Amino acid sequence: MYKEEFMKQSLSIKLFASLRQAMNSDEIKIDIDDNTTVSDMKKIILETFPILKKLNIPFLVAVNHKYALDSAVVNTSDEIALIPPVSGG
Amino acid sequence: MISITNKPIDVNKLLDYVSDNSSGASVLFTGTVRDHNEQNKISKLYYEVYQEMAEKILQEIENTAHVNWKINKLIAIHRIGILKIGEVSVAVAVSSEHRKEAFEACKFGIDSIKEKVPIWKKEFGESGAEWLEGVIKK
Repeated sequence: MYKEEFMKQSLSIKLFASLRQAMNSDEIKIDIDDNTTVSDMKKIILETFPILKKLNIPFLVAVNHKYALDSAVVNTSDEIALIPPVSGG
Repeated sequence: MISITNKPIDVNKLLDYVSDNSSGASVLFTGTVRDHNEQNKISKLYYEVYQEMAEKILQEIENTAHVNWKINKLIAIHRIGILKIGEVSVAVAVSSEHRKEAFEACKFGIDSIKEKVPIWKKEFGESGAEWLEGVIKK
């Protein structure tokens, strides 16, 4: 157990638009360990921040400025952002 | 050429940029701020951007247009910040030898912007302010 805790690292996640407003912040942090995927990360985010689960705003995940698949592995050195439905134009 | 700006977009400059002696056609699309959305009266819009990613995706859109159509120049500009009714929020201009390629590439450009570029608009209307639900693109 101790070892597992020790291995966890803090991941910063950028927020925009409706998600930024919901959290009243342009960044959130979660703990991840090695081999955490985008799919795992989404679950951790919703567990850590129940307000996001409640609001149920759909979002995609961008890793280093590219839309990422659920299977992609995230690292603390990556730039991660949650992308709610875009509405430019 | 692509750009994200917080200053007013001068569409004539876009047309000047794309036109050259080898182009027989120039197509310009502009998106402007409407005074309503469905039943709601709108007073202004606020556009937010994820700058680095938006620039990267705009550049990909320009590159893809050049690969898929025989066009000479393409410029795509999106404005951010607070915009008033009637102001230009987005513009795409394309030049080509003949009109077909320019029309098609211009449509591809604006459709792709609306679908993929991480920009969000917030409407300010009579019933308050709200973020617009856009598309989720896989």
